[in-house]
Amino acid sequence: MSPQLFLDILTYSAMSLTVVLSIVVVSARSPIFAALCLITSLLTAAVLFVLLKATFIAAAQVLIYAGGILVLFIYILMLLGVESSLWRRRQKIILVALFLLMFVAGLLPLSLLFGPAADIMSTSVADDFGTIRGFGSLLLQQYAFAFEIISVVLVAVIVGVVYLTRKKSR
Amino acid sequence: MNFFLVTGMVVFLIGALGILFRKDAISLFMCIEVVLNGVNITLVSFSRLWGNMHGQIMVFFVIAIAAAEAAIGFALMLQIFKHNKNIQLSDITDLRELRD
Amino acid sequence: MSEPLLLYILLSPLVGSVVNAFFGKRLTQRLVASIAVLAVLFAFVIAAFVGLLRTDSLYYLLVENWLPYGLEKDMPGAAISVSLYWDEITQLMVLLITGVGGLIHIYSVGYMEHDRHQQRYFVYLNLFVFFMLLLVLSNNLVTLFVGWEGVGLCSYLLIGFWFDKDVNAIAGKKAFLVNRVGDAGFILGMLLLLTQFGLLDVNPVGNSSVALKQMVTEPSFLITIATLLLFLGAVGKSAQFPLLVWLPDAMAGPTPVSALIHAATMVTAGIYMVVRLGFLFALAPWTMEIIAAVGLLTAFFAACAALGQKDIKRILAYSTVSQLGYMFLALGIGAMGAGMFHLISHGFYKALLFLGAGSVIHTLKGEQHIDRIGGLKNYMIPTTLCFIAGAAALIGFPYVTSGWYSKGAILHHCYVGGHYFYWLVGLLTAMLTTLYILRLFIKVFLGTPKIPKDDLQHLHESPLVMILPMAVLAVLSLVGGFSFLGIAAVANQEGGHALLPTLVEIGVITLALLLGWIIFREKPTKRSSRFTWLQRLGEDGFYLDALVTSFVGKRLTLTAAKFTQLFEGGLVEGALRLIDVSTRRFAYVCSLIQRTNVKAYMVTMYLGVLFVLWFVVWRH
Repeated sequence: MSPQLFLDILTYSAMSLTVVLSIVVVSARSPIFAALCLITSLLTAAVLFVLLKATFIAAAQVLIYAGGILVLFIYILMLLGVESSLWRRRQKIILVALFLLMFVAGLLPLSLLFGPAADIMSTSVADDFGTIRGFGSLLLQQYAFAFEIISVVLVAVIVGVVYLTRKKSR
Repeated sequence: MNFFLVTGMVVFLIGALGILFRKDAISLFMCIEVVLNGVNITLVSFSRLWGNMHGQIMVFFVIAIAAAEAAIGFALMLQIFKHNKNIQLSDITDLRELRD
Repeated sequence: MSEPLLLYILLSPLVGSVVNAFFGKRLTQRLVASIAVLAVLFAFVIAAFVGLLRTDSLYYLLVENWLPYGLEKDMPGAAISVSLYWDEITQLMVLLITGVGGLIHIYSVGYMEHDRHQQRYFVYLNLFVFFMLLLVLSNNLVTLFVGWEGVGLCSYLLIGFWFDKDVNAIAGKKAFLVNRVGDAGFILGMLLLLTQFGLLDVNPVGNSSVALKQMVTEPSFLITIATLLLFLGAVGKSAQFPLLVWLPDAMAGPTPVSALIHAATMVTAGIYMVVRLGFLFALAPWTMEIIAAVGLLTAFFAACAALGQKDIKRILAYSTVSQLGYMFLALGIGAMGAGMFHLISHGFYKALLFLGAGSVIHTLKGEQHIDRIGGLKNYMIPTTLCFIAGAAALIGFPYVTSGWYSKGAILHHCYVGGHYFYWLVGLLTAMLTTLYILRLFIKVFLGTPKIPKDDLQHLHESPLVMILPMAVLAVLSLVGGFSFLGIAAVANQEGGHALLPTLVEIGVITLALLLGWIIFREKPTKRSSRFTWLQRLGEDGFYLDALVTSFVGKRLTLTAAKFTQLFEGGLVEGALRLIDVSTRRFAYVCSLIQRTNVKAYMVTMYLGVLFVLWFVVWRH
């Protein structure tokens, strides 16, 4: 097995897994199961990121997304005890029909017409592409202002959450 | 055909349609995460295509905003759950005008 | 040097009013009253200061040039200015307003002690003093008119002060509407003066002297019209025939208000205005004749009406109208000094009489019918003494009261000026005056008490805060004549000394006192039933009110009602309903897209996104 073939198999299986798991997330009856599938789907997406040489983002995806946010999801699901929702047959048909409609009539022609002609992988990149070094220097120099704004937003979120969930005893 | 971009697009569409069909707020949130995931894949793909990292910066911001959104959303959901005893979207109608 | 002080005089009551209006709810009643009283007393002190230190014969303070007018070639560019003016007449008026006003404010502290709306009362009262001061301090007719309308407004507010009773609210409206008639005349006269002569300043030696010279040389027909119109305003404000119908009804307000507004100050605004514009009226002999005639008619008529009234305050109201008639008589025959003198002394003693009546009403908790009171002299000695002082001044008791000098000055002028008819009717009116006030005094203070026994036991004199202002006014009513002897002397010198009319006057007053005692003395058995019909007639104010109401009032009311129906019912209501219905419909249509259905929102959003996407592609 050549490395290239191995990479191709990895790529296409990661792609198809991401799509299939996403479908499961959307259509699963049990929310817990959906959440677990979502985590897995995020992990396969991280694999895709690695294949695209975005190693830092892949790490961040695993750590923050799958490790942080999704754990929060599961925690809330356990806390609130949400019952599973039942899918009716007709709903499924409508869902699939809509999907095909939007895909075929909406986005596919667009991407075919205006999408990049060249293969994504064909571009040569610098040495520090996707590494923490390259990412950090870009984030803290060119995007320093946006970075600060994001931090302010996060502080506001903390304040808001504390306000929303405080005990209204007084 | 660039399968990375197609993957991103398909995941996005699946999430977007899921939003229409899920009934409780938490599942809705998960669908939104799926949508964001599709967007992330697309952004990273384009980043690779152009050979620069601006798209990856965007992904980083998307993750940060998703975290913020999840935190606020769950705080709201907790309050709604205390009030309504469930978080079905169709039951959140307190502000609707009573029609006579 | 003293000019800026005029502003302090003017604005002090306004500041009191504003402070009480905005912060009065948070202050204690005592503090509210103190602020109101102090605001007026402060103005009085400053006014006295300005008066004492006066070096120039007049002061003039320009506050702001307001409205430019007359910018054509033939008229030099002028502006209606907000400016203050101060001479002897202003000084007298300001001291009267702030002095008597201050005393009545103090009196009100006692009178309104138990009223829940004391704050509102003092806000109105201070505002009234401000507008009255604006009226007398104004240098031109426009700002004078602002004050003129302002006091009318305050009068309306205070007459209807206890508006939860319909009668009071109606009385307030009546006063306001009747005054409108006069004010229309005032505005027309003012506009005539402005357009024809470019003259609006009340100050004859000011910048209007050119216009004045021009007027003297021109035929005075227009001046006669203008002065007649201005006089119509005075007739309304000073309750002269035939617009006097509002004043008796105005007694619905609190008694201190009657004392301040409807006796001492506001109703004298008409006289003040005529005196102030004396240089103008002097150019119109016809107007002067009419003023004298109207004044005389009103004086006599109101004195007759007062004789028939049964309500203690209405008697005093008609008496006020009658005395104002005297003043207009004096103005009409050209004796401006005598008119002003009578205005001042009348301000003292009529305020005193009203305050005395208020003291009685306060003690008796609202009883005003003179047949149901009586014998109060044993229970309210200070009030009785003060009332005697006021009544004596009203009668014009020879030599010891101010009324003697001021009324005497007017009668002297009539006699010396050769207006013997005026003099005779004036004497007759003086006699009637003596009779009605004697009747009032005997019925209220002498005789046997007619109030229930158990009420009588709880009867107590009014508090000191009410007695003190009355005492001060009593002293002023008696010796006020001496303190103004300077004016009196001038007034008498103008007319020259005449022994005969003085003797006749004394004789008439003595005769009237004897006659009154005989008629109104309480007789055990026989009541004179011969004059009941006359009394009935007097009680209804000789049906003047009914006449005005039925002929003018009813017709006007009907027309107005029709207009109201047409305008309000058709136009306003229709427009409002249209707005209402269309808003509702529109809101309903808009609300259709907001039905708390998240799915619907999402679909809408997707469609929008798709649309934008396709749009971008298409543009590409």
